[in-house]
Amino acid sequence: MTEAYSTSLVDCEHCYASNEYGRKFCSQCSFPIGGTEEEKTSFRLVVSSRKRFLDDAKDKIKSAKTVIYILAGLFFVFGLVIGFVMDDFATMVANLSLTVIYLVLAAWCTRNPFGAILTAFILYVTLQVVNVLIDPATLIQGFVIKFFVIVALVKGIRSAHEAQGYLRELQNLKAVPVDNE
Amino acid sequence: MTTNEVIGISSCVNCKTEVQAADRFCGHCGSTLHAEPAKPQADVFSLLTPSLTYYFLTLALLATYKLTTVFGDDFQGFVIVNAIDVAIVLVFAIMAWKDIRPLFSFSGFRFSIAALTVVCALAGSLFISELANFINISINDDVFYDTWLFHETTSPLLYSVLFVCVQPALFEEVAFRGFLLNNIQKIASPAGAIYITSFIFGIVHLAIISMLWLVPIGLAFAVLRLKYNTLWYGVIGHFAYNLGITLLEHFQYTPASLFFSS
Repeated sequence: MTEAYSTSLVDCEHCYASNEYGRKFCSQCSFPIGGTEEEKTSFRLVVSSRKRFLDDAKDKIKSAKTVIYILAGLFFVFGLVIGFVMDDFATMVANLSLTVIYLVLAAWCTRNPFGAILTAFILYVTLQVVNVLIDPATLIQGFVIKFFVIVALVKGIRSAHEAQGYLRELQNLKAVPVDNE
Repeated sequence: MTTNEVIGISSCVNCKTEVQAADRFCGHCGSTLHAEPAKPQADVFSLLTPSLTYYFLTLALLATYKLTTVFGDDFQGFVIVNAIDVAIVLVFAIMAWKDIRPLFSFSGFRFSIAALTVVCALAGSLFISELANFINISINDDVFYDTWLFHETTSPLLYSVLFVCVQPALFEEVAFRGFLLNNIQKIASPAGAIYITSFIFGIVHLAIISMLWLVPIGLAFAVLRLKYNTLWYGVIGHFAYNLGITLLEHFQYTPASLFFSS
């Protein structure tokens, strides 16, 4: 690139990419470099609203993750009580296995929130179906807690999916660092 | 490839302005060029409807059979449950037939891979029989039958092979490595879809300890399916594994404690 050309280059004020003079939009992030102040503001508003949506989604993912940890804890305590107080060794092993599965899912939640929360949701609903078939009375037992758990997991699944979309959109607009997932 | 593309110049699809190959957005109208356009987000649960409906229908059927006396515990009840199970898979397979059909293609099928799958599956069935014996649980739990169920039939071995080896190998593969994997891949990454479907495959057998081997088996078949884009290796491997278990069971094999001493 010669001196004569470099004078006709403009740095994008959003992503700092070099653009030829006279362009209306940045070639790398679509920021309206040659646009009016209103157009620039509306671009920034889009970016900040997507960032806010992403943060909201992350909060819901975090709540779902906490719920998974709580489930692990509940199965652990329940398993120990069943095993040592009621001397039911087989049920204790099953409950401790569920504890391990929930702990693994909570850990996986950091890497793949969608997969982890969806799996936790399927496992939780499956256990409820099994319990109801064994003893229909369990359907209403602890209904409020079950409802709360399912709502948190469903919101988590939805948010994990939406977060992927917001992140992709923000990466496209060069508004967040691109990670090599 | 046009001359323009060769020298790195093309035009914007939206406004036809000339743009550079390295540009991600058109400088004139701001349209996206190379970057994927942001797709409108469909609700995740409407995308997941086929998978969740299939899973919860199958769960309701199998759990009712296993945990209640609705279907009885004789051979007739077993056949009825299996018929409903197969019917559910067929309905979902037909609905997604466009994406399932290519998975039955034999093009690119290699006998060496099939043979290796069979050897691994048979070795796996022996190993897992040993493991199950060691931790003192019945491996029958996860194939939903007890050997005595077939003893009242005219040909126990034939019916065992039919209901325990052929049917699950074909229909479980179509379900879990077929439309479930396809459906979940639309939302999750390939790796995520492999983990999720394998977990579902494990848990639908309703035997918590068996998940220790069912999930890895599911992972292996799912990897084979995505790597070679065919269901056949999974079907063959699944058949070989279940056949191994069935034969060991049928001939009253007492594990020789090859791997584990109890």
